Amino acid sequence: MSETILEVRDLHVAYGAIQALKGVSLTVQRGEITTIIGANGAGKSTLLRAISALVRPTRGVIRYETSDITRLPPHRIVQMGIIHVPEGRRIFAEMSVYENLLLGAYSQWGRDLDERLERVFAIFPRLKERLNQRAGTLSGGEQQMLAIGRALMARPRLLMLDEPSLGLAPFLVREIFQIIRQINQQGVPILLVEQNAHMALEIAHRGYVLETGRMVLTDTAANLLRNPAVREAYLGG
Amino acid sequence: MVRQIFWCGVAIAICWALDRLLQAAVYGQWFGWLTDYTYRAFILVPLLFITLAVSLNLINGITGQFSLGHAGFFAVGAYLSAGFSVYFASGWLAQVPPAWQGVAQFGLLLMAALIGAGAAALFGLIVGIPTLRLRGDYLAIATLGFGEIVRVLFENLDLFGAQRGFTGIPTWVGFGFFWYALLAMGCIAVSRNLLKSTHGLAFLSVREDETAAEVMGVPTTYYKVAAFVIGAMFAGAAGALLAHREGSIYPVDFKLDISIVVVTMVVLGGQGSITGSVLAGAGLKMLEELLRLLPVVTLFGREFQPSDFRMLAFALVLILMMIFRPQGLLGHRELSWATLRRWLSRSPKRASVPPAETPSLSSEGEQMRQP
Repeated sequence: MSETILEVRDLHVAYGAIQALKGVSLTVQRGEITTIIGANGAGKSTLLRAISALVRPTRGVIRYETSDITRLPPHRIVQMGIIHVPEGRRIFAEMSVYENLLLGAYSQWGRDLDERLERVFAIFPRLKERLNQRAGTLSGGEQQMLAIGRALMARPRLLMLDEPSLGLAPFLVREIFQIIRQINQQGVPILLVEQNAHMALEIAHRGYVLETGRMVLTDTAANLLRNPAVREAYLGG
Repeated sequence: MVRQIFWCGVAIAICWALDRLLQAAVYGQWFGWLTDYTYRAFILVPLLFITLAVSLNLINGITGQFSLGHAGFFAVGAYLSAGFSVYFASGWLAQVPPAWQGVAQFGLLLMAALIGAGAAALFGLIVGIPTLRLRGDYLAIATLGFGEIVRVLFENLDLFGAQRGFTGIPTWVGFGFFWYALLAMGCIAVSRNLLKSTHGLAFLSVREDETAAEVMGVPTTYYKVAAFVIGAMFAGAAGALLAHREGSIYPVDFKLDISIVVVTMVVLGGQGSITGSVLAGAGLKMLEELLRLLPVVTLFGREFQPSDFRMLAFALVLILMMIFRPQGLLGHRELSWATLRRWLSRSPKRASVPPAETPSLSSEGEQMRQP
């Protein structure tokens, strides 16, 4: 069962003089939810941005399945099936929900668009009701659903979610996490970055703890939940 | 497809007929007010600026880059096409037997326009590549610099007349409305078809949120450069037409003012709205001409033509726009027969207001289909 789909080795990323990542390594197994937890500024988002080539690493290797993707441009990485739902949702506010979903399918344009739309509506029925509404007028929770739905339109083979719980009411956070688990159960491996460590570790198979640009700990999610140091630092004792 | 070709042919035929009619009216002096001057000022120049505004709208409005270098592309098209005509085409034309002169002129003019467009497109590519790295204000400054460099270059090249202006460009009889209108319509059609295609959403996504577009797999660089190349191409063709209608071009024709005026038109019309650019492009140019009709005023002991204040008027219009209607006249929407009909039916009896629909790309398919 354990088969590595994504491998990051010794990744360094710098923003000017500031070292954001100082040698990070991680693997994502097929079929699993892998989560990265850590405080603000630990470099979690930077790691995802480096994988989807929005920032260029100064050193290190990113492997996806059998190929080295470290130097590929962003759109090639999307074509390979690595879909990034960026922090802050980043939906196209001026466009309709439908147009947002269509753009999600940009990299995988094809005949089965309607079928994919139906699949997204099965997961997020509310998007169907709001189809012609301007995306900027959606509530925060609906915007997050749209961001995830848009990513699903690209037929992800690895879904990367950056802080999907950000700014959502607690009941919505639970709903979103349920959906993430549901998507994973349909066979999509997920790399999840979260500050809400408790929720993330509950649904994840494996967890990494990132601190100021370095991976300090990795274990199964269940073990991390029981780890006294993790409990102390991230789970409120 | 057959339908489109049919309407295309109809449009060309109508343009040709109008062209002949205008030509006859202007030179036959059918109406007192329709002189060569008013023909140029109220019909040809507005058409030229419609082309410039709609093509800049592709760059500034639709992909959301801020280019201040449109006069540069305009100049490249004008000068290089004129260079072709003066140094090559005139010689070729002399060898053509008299019976074939008309056809040869037509062909060579088309060739000059294509050369102008091609050269400008090449420059668009050259300028478009830095957009990989530049955004916002920096891009505006870089393109502004490009426009000025082009102008200064032509100002100093003796081959192109330097500061004396490039004169002696062959002007062919009967050249006017037909070509200007055709270019404007071509520019509008290309813009609109780009927006309606699957690429349309991708162009717009670059404007809306570049990072989001990138994580959707949209090759943003490609779209930004493509917008530059296509926009520049039409500006270059417009320059070629200007050169061959006027017979002489001067570096001052391509000053920064032109770029600013065209940007004003795009902003005024609503960034991204093609019909908005058309209305603002024609409207502002005609407004400028109307200012010339006002009497001369004396201020501080000096005489001023009201049209000398046009840049002030544009600035005022822009400021008022930013305060009262920051999205421009039409915002992101398009003016279509459907919206016009809605407005007309709304004004007399307010009770029967049809439900406001969200403008989607698919509903824009109706606009401007009927000639």
